[in-house]
Amino acid sequence: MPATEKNIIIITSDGERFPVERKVAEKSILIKNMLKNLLPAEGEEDDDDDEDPDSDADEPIEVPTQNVRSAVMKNILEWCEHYKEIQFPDDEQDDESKKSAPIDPWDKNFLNVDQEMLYEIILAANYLNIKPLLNASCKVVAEMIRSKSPEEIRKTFNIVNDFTPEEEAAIKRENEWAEDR
Amino acid sequence: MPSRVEVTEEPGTKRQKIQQASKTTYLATTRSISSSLKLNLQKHPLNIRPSGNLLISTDEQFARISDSMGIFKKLPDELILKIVSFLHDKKDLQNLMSVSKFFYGFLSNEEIWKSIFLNHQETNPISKWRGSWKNSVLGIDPPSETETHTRINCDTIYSDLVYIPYQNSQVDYEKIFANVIKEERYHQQHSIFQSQDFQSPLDFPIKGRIPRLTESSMTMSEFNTKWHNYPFILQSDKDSPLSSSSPSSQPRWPKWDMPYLLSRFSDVKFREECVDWPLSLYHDYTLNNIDENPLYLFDCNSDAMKQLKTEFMRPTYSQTDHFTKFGTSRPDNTWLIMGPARSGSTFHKDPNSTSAWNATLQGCKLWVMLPPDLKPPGVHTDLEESEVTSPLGLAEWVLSGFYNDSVKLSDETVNKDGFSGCLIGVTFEQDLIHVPSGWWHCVVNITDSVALTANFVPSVKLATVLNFLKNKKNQISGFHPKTFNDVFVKFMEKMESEGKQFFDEDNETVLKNYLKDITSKEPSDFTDEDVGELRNCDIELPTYQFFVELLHQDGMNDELKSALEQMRAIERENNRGNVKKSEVWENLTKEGTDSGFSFGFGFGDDEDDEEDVQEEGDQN
Repeated sequence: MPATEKNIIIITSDGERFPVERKVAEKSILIKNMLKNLLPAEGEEDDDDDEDPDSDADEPIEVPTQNVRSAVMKNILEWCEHYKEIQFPDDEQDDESKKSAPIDPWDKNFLNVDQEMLYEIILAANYLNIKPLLNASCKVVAEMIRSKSPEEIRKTFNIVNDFTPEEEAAIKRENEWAEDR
Repeated sequence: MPSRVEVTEEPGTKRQKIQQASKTTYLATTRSISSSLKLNLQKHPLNIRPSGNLLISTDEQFARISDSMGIFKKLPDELILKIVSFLHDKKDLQNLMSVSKFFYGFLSNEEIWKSIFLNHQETNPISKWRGSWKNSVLGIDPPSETETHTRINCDTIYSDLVYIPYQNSQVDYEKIFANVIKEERYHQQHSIFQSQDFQSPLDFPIKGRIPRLTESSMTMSEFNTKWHNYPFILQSDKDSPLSSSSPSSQPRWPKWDMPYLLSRFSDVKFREECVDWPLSLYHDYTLNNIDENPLYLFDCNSDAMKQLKTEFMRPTYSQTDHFTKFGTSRPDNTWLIMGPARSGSTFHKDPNSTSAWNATLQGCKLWVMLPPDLKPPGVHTDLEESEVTSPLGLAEWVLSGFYNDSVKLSDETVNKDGFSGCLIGVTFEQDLIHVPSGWWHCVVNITDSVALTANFVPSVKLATVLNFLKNKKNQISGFHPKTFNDVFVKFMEKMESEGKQFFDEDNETVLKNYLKDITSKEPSDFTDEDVGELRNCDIELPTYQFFVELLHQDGMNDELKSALEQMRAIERENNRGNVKKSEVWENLTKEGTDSGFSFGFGFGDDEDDEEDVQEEGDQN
């Protein structure tokens, strides 16, 4: 079987089918772990070609993802396709250097979508366990908070100022204290 | 079990009463925490509520939540926290706090501020503790009592992520463990035994409890023959060794409580987990914090500790300590431990298969201990136990029922040696507890506590430790590579100049290769930081080979040979264990399992087998 064969079919919540290469699908650790139990790892399959020649390994495998709709999956898969040749560690630790690293320009451009889509990408990346995408998308939201006044943050995220006047005065006092330091 | 008690008859004494009482055995589970105590819900000062309360809120309330969260309503709390964790600037966090009730409350989560502090200690030094990480990082003093203070009413947050750490920080262990404390206090005053009262620790009459014995009865030979594999608490009696600085009327252990230590070391920096704070700052922290898991002072190398180490007498039974052969290159081994109520250690085994004693100098501590082959409830490990995960902090471990599960094990499970599945004890001031090699233990500081602890390698555990150093290389910890190398090089030079023989040819090869290896490198290539588990470090210290040769040079050949023999038996048993793992595991995890499985060492019963193992071992 050619290595580029798109023999993993990802099925979204709205029933759309996305045939992809295994290494693209495996950017999702959720799917990777799932496939680990169903398929021999790539490279290993050539070693034991003498046994079980009719093995259903060539049969496409369907992976249902009930939490992701097709419009979002399309984006997710575009990201996975872009990074398919890059190895990310499975259980990447959130160390500080990664946290303060700037967002990759390609990711930044890729995540330049409306907020609705951005949140859906965050949720999907979290569900599918795609750490680098999750980190990049959360960083984009953090960027939208950074260096903004409270009022600007409210506007950006459609938040209502629900403090009482007394509460607002108390918070203001608290902030003034802190500024003196 | 009580039928096996063989206590010398002393009619009419209190001990006799205990013995009789124990004949009508009461189950350890009678000392479980009742659910009324566990579910003692606390109102959050900002009126933040647990997620579950959302189920009973009104439409109007839902609308208010939506307003307060805006678009963030789409995300679960964990992801909002993740986004917030990418904000490092105090100003950004302050602005976010000022946005709405939701964000003000969400950012009351101490973990956010603690992590800001820990990751940016250089730019955000804390010079003064102000009652919380948030206030300390921002430099806000909590409002004084006279000031009228407006509390922000964050009733738009229903979040376990924010509520539960607060709830856990309000845990009152004195109340929760009141029965256990009372019972242990009684035993401390009325039912102290002599080691000689028992033929085996299994004869101890009080079910599920760590035996209390007089210190003077725990001689080296009592320890080596009966007690080395079982926890016990020693109480001082008139024949105990005394703190060297105290006249004979003084207590057994030095009275190093917080006020005393402050009077001597106020400005000295001690190690508290990931920070090095002067004692005065740490003291302020202990008085007033709302951490779910308070910082725990665990110090072995401060300037203060260097002095304090010389000011007490180690217990007699611990005085043979084979790690002293390593000289200054031994792993860290004596610690001062201080922590406020609620602090403590989650389940772990002591490093390098060492044994340990721990003397409580102030306060009281709860100990939950399980034999090496029984994994504690609520703890996960990989097969090799190199990774131990305790997903829950102490308070949550207790409150969510794992403490009760452990107590239940006392009644229902015995391990391979017939030991009760779980033992519980409370140590008070001047009590010393023994932590046997390989035993799981967790410690909860019921009140503010100070303790002194030391790890050691008794003769009877030499084989176990050799096996650890040889076969669990990636779990070895506490050695400092630079010091290790210094001591090692001197040793090798002496071997050379005095023309001494190595004990084992293979050791000789390994050690000479290592010597060649390190002399070809710059000394600066070797850190002197405690390398933690050595797998994080580029070099592999030949601790096993060095230890064997040190023991040999110390002239203890017979003991060494017999320990190596025992070590091979352990290796053989472990190899066999690997094959039969699932079966063994089945037996051990079965509730109420009998000790039908025997782990006898069986010296010489399988000569061929042993040779095989030896060959395998020699390749290492």
